[in-house]
Amino acid sequence: MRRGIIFLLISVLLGAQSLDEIVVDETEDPDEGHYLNELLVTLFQPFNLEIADSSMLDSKGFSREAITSILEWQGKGASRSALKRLQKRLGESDKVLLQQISWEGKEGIGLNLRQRLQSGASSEGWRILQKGRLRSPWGNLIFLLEQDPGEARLSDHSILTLSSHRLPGFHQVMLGDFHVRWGAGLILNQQGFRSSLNPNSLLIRSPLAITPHYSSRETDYFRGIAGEWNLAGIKAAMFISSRKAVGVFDGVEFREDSDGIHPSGKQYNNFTQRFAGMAGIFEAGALELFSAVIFNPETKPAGQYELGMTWHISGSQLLQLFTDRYRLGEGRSIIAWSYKSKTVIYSIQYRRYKTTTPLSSGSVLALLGTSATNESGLAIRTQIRPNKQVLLRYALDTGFSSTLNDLKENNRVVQHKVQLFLKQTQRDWQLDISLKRAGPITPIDIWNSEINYDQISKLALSLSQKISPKFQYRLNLKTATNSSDKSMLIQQRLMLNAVSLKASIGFVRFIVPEYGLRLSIYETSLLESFSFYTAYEDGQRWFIYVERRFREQVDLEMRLAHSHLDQLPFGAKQLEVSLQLSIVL
Amino acid sequence: MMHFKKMLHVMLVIFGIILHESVLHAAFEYHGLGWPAACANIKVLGSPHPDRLLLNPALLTDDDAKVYSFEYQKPFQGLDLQAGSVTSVYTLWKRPFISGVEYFGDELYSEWKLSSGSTWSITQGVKTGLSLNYRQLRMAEFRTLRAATLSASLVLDMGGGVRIGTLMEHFVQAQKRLSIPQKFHFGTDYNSGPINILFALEKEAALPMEVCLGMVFSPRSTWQLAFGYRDLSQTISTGWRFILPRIGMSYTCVIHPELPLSHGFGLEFYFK
Repeated sequence: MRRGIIFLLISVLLGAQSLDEIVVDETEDPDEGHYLNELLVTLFQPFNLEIADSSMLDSKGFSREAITSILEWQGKGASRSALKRLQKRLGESDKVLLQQISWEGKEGIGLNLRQRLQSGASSEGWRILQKGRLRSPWGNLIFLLEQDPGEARLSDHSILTLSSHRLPGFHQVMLGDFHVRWGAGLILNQQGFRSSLNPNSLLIRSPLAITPHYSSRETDYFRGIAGEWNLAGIKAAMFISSRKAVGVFDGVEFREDSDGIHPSGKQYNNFTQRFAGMAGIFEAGALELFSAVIFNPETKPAGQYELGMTWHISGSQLLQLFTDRYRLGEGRSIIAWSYKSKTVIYSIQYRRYKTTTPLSSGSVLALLGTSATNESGLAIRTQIRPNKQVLLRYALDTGFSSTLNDLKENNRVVQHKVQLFLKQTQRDWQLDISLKRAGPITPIDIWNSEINYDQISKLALSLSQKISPKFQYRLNLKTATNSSDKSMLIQQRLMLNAVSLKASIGFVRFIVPEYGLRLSIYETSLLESFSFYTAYEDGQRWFIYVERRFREQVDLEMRLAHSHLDQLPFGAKQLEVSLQLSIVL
Repeated sequence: MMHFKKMLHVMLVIFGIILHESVLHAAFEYHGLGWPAACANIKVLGSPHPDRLLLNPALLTDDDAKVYSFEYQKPFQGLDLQAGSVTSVYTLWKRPFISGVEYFGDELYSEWKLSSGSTWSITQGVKTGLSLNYRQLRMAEFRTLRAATLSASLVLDMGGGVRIGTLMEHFVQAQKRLSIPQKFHFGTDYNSGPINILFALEKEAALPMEVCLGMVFSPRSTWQLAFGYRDLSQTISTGWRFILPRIGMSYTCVIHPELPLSHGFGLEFYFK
């Protein structure tokens, strides 16, 4: 904490120039939800350029000038020809960003199909996944069919969503399966949150948003009808949902998400979840006021609310306050402040959750391994860009139990992270250093007035070297150490990136003796982990990735990973295969 | 009147197939009827033979030829089981269609399948197919069961003689008591001169994925030889086919490691 404040003060004294968004964050702690989101966002692009507001465009990394131009383009009818003209006027980085966002336009009918077959020793069978989106001038139809090992039907898990932007008076109306983002997530849990070193990650970007449900997870999705509209200066959204939730429950809360997989022999409970919600944002000058209410007949009290405020103090400063204080002495609050200049970005967030009432959906937030029902903590992010070649980030996260309810629940966590990016002509460097101290408070600690932490320190170095216009080499070196064990991972990858062919061959050597170090040393990025199981124990893995594009519309992807674990006598050699066919018409 | 001992054999084989394939199965999915049976019964890709088209209409071509095919098979030699099909490829409203009826069974047990499908070209080299199916299962002394299903397929021509195909069999079902096992097919074939090599992955219900390999050798334009192997059931298949301007004839043989041999004969008639 003290070191964090000193670092902040030092960084204030530094001068700076322009700030280019660096989104490469590969040595971050991974999380399965992140991989899934990456994969699904790539497929369905829930981000809609035609209706995205300034904060959503900002979160994509667009510059202020580009955001103004895109909002103007939306106001003038969002035509394809105007978008092409706009693209020519943008700066290079904005142009690249805009190209990455596929916008199909209002005209015509389009079809996206993705079919995936995946098998491996860890899954004990094949997973068949089929996803598709049919686009028409009236709206979108999204479907997902999944059959996992042990399941009998291709459609054992299925999702169907119909959405339209064409209903008069509504920005969007959705029928079927959907996600809801609701304020700061204080009354409605928002799964998929991932702690990042990016200062923007501490701010609440879109307090109300409803997107199609496109993942196979059981938590945090709704089935029913939802809509968004804008009336008399109030942006509002509502939903009504009733669905069968499958998993292991504690009351009405998930303890275990079946992740869409219902293997034979494992007993999951069925539970009917009924929800209704309404939320709105009122903009008054520099102030944005947010209010939301959730009604769930299964919880007490059945109605919960959240209030929020975003104050744009100036062009560079922002203050946010969200709270769901609904009972005397209990409630959750988040306060965040952010300062942004050309060179430096700071964000500070303080949260205090003092309640025994769980969140409305999904399992509780597990930031830093503590329970969100009884937690307070501080998060600080700093980003400094002294010149175009160097980017420095620092993050501090702390989490403490707010009240002493039960000794088992009393954890405290302190984590420091430093990240340095260095960009050179032919190569990029990235260095990550982190220190995490965590542990429960035991009676002995209280008696002795001292706390014994478990400590994990981590060092990661990444080099990306451009060999030729088509070939690139990447080296990742990661180590993690706790009080008793050390782990290490060395990963090398050679990549070919041609017009119609992408290929990659790599080798990983891993020594991960202890489960607690597993996440810290985990392979990073979707491509490198192949979304296969985590490399664990002592062993090595070869992997091959090939993506071939045919006729500009069909992509065929193959991923092969062969792992050899040194210590296991049986199943020591494991082959994982993934075949994927994508069609975009 | 069927001999009691013979009837017991029939029932044993039927139950053997049912247990081997899936607890829900009847003998629907026995491997082999028509020319595709000679080539590991791969139906997701391969030549546009009527029996293959009935399952995967995306293989239909736009030429105007009408084709009628008649198949007869004696599955599991020594038993009284018989199988047959009548299939027709025709053009309706300038769209190619395939319709057919299949039978499998004996005096005590019978299955009827009626199917009809067509194809749509989505873009150059990408075709999709839809087929509507009706199934009826009858067993003596038991109630007759019925189901209607929809199957969908996709065939991509990647160029250079390579195609990729995918097929979801019975992925939509309307039924009260007869649940038809869903089946997923994913395959590729490579055509080079007289040789056509087929590779397919087939997953039926909760069974493991089955790897199927097939090869068709066409030394002359008038005749073909086919071989196939399926790894899960460990069946080996072979057959020949003569194709004359108006008529085609085929013979298939499926060798199962535990069940008796199956022989099949087919006739095709072509009309311009």
